[in-house]
Amino acid sequence: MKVGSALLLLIALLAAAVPAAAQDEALLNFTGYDYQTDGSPNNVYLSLGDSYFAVGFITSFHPTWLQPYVDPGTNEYTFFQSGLVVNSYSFIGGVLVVTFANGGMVEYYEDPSKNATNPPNPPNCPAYGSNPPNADSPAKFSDGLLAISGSLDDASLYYDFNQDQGGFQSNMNITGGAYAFYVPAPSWNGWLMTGLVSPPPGGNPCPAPTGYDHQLSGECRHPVTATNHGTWGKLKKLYR
Amino acid sequence: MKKSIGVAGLVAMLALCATAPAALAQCGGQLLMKFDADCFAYESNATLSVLEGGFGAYKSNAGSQLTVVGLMTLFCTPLNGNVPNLPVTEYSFVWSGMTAAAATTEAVYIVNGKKWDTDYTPGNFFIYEDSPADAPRATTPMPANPPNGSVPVNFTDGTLILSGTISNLHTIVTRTNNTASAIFGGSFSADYQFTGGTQFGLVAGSGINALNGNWCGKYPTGCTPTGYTAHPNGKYDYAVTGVQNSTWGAIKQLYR
Repeated sequence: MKVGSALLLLIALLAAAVPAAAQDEALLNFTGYDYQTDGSPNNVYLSLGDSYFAVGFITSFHPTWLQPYVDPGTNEYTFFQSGLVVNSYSFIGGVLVVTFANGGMVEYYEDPSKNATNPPNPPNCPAYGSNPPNADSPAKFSDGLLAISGSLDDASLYYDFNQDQGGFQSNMNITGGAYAFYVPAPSWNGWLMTGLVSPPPGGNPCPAPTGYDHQLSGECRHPVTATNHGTWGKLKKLYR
Repeated sequence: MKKSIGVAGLVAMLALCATAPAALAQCGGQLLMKFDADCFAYESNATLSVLEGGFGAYKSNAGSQLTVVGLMTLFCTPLNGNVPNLPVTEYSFVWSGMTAAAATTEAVYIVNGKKWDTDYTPGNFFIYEDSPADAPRATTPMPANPPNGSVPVNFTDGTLILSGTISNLHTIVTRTNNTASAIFGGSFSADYQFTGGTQFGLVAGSGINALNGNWCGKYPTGCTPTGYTAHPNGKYDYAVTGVQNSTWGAIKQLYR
């Protein structure tokens, strides 16, 4: 029994082992597209009161917290970011800077139906549809098992139209989801950021979906919980 | 003895889990190649700018040489025959030959935050297929103060499958305010073109395409291991030039 307990503890320690020097690591990496909806009819991108959304696919996972538990061969892993409303706006010298009111959220889903991937891909294209929200998006990116959910606070976005390049950043705190308990509780608070560029025409082999504003490539980084190094002797003492 | 073997087996299994392939991911859209957590940049002449709260970012001095090393996590059509499978097969890459065209510029961001912009001169990229995988990764961790015994050399061994040029690289790092709770962000954008490698035939004639993504420069965090200046996370896009079926007759008509 003691050996069994020690073995379980060893496994838990190994599973949580992380390099001591690292202060944070990528929880999730993703790509996708963003879009906005007008709070009231206007022709200004992300003006006061407008809402900001993003959908897409998770491209890789934290190697010890999540990777051992996901199965990308069987499921698709998608995300839906929502609930962000512009509360300050600045556009100077071709550079847009907006901030968002707290209360946004991001949700990561595991879905065996793969209805967002829309296989076989290629030749099919992911189900972004056109001019979101539409029949496919965000619905097909927000179905299945809610793996991890998080709140988004202190979010902001910039876009330099001179460079055709921008970014989104926010605090992201895990609030729940079926896989949340794989992430050590002290590491639930982190930050999310993504680079933004305008979708070019053409594609490989799919064209950029109409009605979305930017392509995304980003990640969600979370602090790594410190672990203690021990000896078998110390471990045995715990059970004596 | 049996218990020892069992423990050893479990340890081995866990070790394998910890270095499992970076997962299949969905292609589509413009995506050709993706790199994620295991990519880091370092420079020959960058200055750390630490602001209030103890967090900062590196600013390049003019002429600072940029090197980026990393591991690909995903290849899409027509390169989808390449499947990263750590720790067996890795697809490592290096960007080199780029220097800061001028010193990083600093501007006000939001109210009391900062925005750092840097332009780089053109350079090159090289992508290698290597087995067994030997390049360090974020979780191994990255060895300090590159260049060193494994960076960049362990990213440049194996078969050179693709190479090309990078131009118009522009990086942005932002900090929302001047407190310890400031949120950092960043991005990069560039153009690239394939010029060689054993798999060049698969992408020959693809022209100039976009290379872009996230550029995390927050110091001190996992984005900036000791001696590294940033953590890029991004993708190579690939727009296929459209073709149209036609007949000799139709082509002749164009010239009549």
